[in-house]
Amino acid sequence: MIARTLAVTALLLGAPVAIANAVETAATATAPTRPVPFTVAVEIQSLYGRSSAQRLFSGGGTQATAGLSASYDLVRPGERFTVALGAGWLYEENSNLFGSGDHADLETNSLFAMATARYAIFSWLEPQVRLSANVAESRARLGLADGTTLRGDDMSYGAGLGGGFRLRTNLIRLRIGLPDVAFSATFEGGYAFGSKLGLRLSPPRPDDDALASDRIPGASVGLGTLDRSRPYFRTALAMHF
Amino acid sequence: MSIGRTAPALMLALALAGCENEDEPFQKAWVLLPPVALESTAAYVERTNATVFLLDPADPALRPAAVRIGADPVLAVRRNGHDELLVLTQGAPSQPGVVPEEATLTVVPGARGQAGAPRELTLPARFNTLAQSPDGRFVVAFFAPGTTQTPGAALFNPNEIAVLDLDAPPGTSAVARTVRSFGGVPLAVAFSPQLSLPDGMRSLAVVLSDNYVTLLDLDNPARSEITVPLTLTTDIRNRRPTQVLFETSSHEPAIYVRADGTEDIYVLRLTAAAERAPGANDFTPSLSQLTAGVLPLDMALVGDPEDPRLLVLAASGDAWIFNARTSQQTRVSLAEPGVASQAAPNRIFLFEGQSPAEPKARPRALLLGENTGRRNVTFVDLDGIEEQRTKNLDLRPMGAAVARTHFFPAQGVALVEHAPGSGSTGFSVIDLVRRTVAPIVASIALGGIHVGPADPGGPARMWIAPAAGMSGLDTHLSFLDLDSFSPGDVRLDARIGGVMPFARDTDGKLRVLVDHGSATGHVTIVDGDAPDRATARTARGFLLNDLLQREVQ
Repeated sequence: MIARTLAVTALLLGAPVAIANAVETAATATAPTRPVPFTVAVEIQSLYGRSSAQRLFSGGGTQATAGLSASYDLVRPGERFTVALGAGWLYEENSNLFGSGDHADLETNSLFAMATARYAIFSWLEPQVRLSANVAESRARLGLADGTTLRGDDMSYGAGLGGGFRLRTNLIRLRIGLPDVAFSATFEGGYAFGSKLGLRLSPPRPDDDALASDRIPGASVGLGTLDRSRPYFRTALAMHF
Repeated sequence: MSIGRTAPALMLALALAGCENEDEPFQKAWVLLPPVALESTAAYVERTNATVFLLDPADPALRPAAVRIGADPVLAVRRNGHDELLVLTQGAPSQPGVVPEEATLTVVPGARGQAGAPRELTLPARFNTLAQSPDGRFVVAFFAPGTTQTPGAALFNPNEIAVLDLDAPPGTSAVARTVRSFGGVPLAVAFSPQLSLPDGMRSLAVVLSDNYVTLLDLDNPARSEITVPLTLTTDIRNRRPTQVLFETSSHEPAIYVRADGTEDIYVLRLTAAAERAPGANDFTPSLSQLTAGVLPLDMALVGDPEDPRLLVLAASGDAWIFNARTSQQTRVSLAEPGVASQAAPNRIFLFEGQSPAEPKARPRALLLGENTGRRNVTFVDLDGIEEQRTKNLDLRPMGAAVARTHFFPAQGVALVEHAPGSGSTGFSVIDLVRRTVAPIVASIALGGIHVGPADPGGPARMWIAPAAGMSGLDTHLSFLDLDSFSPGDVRLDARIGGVMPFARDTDGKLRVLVDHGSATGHVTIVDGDAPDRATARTARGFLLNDLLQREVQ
C-alpha cells in the first residue's frame, strides 16, 4: 500500500515539473508581475491513522486520498501576502485483508472548503497555512471468507489545519494563444479532525425480488466507531491563471 | 536554484518520511473453537484474540458480549451442572517482544448480563485437555495422550496433572501432581460420586493409564496417590482401561474397571487402611477380578445401590450378572432363538420406565450392537433377572444394523443411526415404553443429532443436522416429533455446522440456535415450537460487532 502510494505520488509529482520544464524551454518565461488568482489543483493526501480501528481498512496505517480543488486568491494585502478561498473533492479508498481471509473496504467521498494564507519569501517559495472544513460520506464493505458481504455507510464532518510551502514557477506564456499560466507544487503537513463514523453493516438486498423476499431477516452488525482524526501530509499540483 | 532539479528529490524525501514498518493489527487468522451451548447463551471462543463471545439467542440484536481471557485458549467446555464455561488456556511462552503469560483455567459465567467477570485459575503447566467431575466441582487438567510438546518449553512431563476445586474459596491454587508412572501416561480421568470412605464422604479421581490406574483423593489432594497395576510386572500384554463404574454402597464402596485386552473385570474395593501414617490415605484398594471367560464388551451397575450387581455383556453373546460381594454369577443368553450365529450386543443403556406389559416404572435396559451387524434390539427387565433369565428379555427386530446410538431416557426414546449399506439409510427411533422400532428414511447422511432439555409443556422434538459435505440438502435443518415420529425440515440460508436447542426461555419461547460454521460468526435462530423459515432470523458476522473498539490481531 505504502509502496503503491509512493510510486503514484512520485509519478504525479514528477510529471508536472517535467511538463513545466518542457514548456519553459518552448515558451518565454516572464516575471510574475501579473496576478494569476485562479488555481486548479490535483490533490494527494497521505493520512496517518494509527489506531487499531483505522487499520482494519488500511492495514499499514497510512491512508491515501486523491482529488481535485479550485481556489481563488481573494485578497492580496501586499505584494507578498495572499489569502485564497477554495473548494474541492477528495476520494479515499482503503482495503485490507484481515481475519481468516476476510476483506475490508472503506470508500469515502468528501467535499471540502478551504482558506489559505500565503506569504511569498521569494517568487518561487511561499510558506502557507491552510484551514479546511469538509463533509464526507463513507461506505464500508466487508467481504467475509464464508461468502457473506456486509455493507453500511455513514456521514461525517471534519476540519483540518496545516502548514507548509508552495513552490511556484514563473508565468509561462504558451504559444497556443492561451493566457499565461504558472505551475506549482504545494507540500503541507497538518492534522485533520473528523467526527466519528458509526458503521452498522448488513447484507445487501439481493437484486432479484424473489430472492430478496425469500431471505431470512438478519440482524445488522454494529462494527463500532471509526475515528477520522489523523495527521496528514498533502501534496497539491496546481496550475494558476 | 532550479525547481526542476530540486523538487523531485524533495518530494521523495517527504514521501519516504511517511514510511513505516511495524506489526499490524488484523493480520492474523482467526480460529474459533467449537461453540458451546450454555444454559441460555452460546459461547464462542476465538483463539487468536483470546476472546469469549456469549451470544444470547433471545437478544433481538444478536449482539454478543465479549470477554477477554488468557492467551491461547485450546479447549472450551461447559462446566457440569453450572451455567459456566470452562476455558483451558496455554498462555504465552517467553519470546522476544512477548510478555510471558501463564496457563490458566478460566471460568466464564454464561448467564446473560453476567459477562465480564471471568475467574482465572493459574495452572502449573501448559496443559491441553481436562476432565471434570459430574457435579462440576473438580477439574483435572492434564496432557492429552499423544502430546509431544508444549508451547515454548524444551521439556514437559506428560504425567504432570493439576487438580482444581472450583468451589474452593477465591485464591485457592491448583494442586500440581505427577502421577506415578510405570511407563504410561494419563489416558483419561474418571470421577467418582461421593463415596463413603473411612474419614467420611468424599470423591475420588481415577486416572487411567495403560496397565494401571491411579486413585486420587480429591478432597485431600496433598495425599499420596494410590497406583493399582492391572497386570503383573512380568506380563508384557497391554491392558488399556476403557470403562470405570463406581459402586456407592455405604460399606466399602468399589470401583469396577473394564480394560481392553483382558477377559477380566477389575474390582477395587475400598477398605479402611489397616496401618495409617499421618497424612496418609484412610482407605486402601483391595483388588479382585471377575471373569466371564470371554471378552467383556460393556458393563453397568444395576439394582440396589447398597448391594448392586454388575451387568456385563460378553463377546459370546451372553449377559452376565455378577454379585461382586458374593462372587455369585448368572449367565443369560441373548441369542435369538433359532438363529445359529449372530453378533453380540455391545452397548447397555439403562433406564427406568414402563413396559407394554407392565404399567409400573421399573429398572430396565436396552441392549444394542453397535457396528456389529446385529439387527435386533433387546429390552431387559432387570428386576429378578437372575431368576427369570431369558423370560425377562424382549427381542425386537430392526431393519438395519446399528452404527451409532443416541440415548434420550428423559424423552423415552433412543435413536439409532444405521450403518451405510446395512439395509436402510437413515435411522430408527426406539420407543422405550412401547418398545417399537420406527424406521425413518433419510436421504442425507446424518450429522449431529440433538434433543433440547426436557420441556414438559412443549413438544418433544429431535433436531438433526446433515453431515458435512452433503450438497443440496446441507442447508436443511431436519426435526422429528418424538410423540408422532413425524419428520419435518426448515431450509436455511447456509450450510449447517451445529445445532443447539435451548430450554424454554423466560419469555415463553423455545429457541434453537443453528451455527453455520463461520469464523466470523453466522447463526440462525429457529422457533423450536413452530420451526419455520418465515419466523427464523439470522445474524451474519456477529463476532464482528464492536470490532473497531477491540484490540484485534
